[in-house]
Amino acid sequence: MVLVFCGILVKRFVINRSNAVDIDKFNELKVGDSIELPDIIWEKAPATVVLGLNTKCKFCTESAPFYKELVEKQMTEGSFQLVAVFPESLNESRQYLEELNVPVTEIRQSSLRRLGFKGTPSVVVVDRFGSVKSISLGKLAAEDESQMIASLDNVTGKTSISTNKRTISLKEVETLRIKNKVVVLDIREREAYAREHLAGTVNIPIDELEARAVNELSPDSAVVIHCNCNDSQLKDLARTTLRSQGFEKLFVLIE
Amino acid sequence: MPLYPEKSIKRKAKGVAVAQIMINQEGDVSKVEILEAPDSMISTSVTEAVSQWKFRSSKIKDGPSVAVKGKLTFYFVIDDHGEGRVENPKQY
Repeated sequence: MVLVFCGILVKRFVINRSNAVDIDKFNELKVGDSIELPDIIWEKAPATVVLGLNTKCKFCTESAPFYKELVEKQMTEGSFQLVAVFPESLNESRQYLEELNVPVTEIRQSSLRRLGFKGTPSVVVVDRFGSVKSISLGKLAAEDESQMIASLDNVTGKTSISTNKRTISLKEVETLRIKNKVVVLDIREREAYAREHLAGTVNIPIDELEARAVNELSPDSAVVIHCNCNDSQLKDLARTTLRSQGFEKLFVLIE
Repeated sequence: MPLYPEKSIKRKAKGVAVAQIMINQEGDVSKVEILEAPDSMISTSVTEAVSQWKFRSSKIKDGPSVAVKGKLTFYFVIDDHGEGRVENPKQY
């Protein structure tokens, strides 16, 4: 009898308590869901890009060049809003973005978990009705950045222009060569390059790129990164290195 | 810095030279391998120069000195007057 009573007490005050916590349980944000952010009016623009960041997140810091591009795209096109959401204080978040040289003006403080963000960094495209159109999680590979931009352009009704493309085929390289200065950069080691390589390519091994790129490549040229491999991390590293040195027209060759 | 061999200047051999070096615990260059150079005389010049370099020894945090491997890049440039010079990479 005592045991049954204790059981009831445990159920009532322990198990039910944990159920109470479940009210706050994590609801992962999905495409098609609605999202709410304080003081953000979705109707103000055809689309809003919400960056879910954390000042202590390594991949957020490493993704800064892409966020900077988004800011530039926003300033040039004006067809979308850009909001950065941090769990940290506004001052701390603002300082973090300033240090990264990512001038996002709309910053909000919120629990990312409450918004349903699975992790950081997250890039969420929201339409003018507050409906989520795409979610990209983590540090994005070139292809994923392309996809995110395409999704954004789709929502804003804008067709992707070539400078927003991240990947390029060999056929497109030839077309680009007609009108522009193009360098196809092979980032493999010398031995692999010596064995076989595409005609007309320049070889700078990835570990030498930081020292040599600015000395040997023109910032006016479009640079097409190539490694005759499927190593997207390697290509991303090359792209990040080049972008940090001021190269803007960067593409990754579709192998 | 490596010297620009006169013969290389006359032959108009110019461009990048990359050396892979091994630095021992004392900071001395223990091995030099030329990975790329405009010609063999430039390779020799880089090897001779770099072999004499002395580096501050590298340490693991709160630990002993360690040997390290790295790459050095030099640019052998010939100007409009035919003068040769050796440059370090410009920093971005």
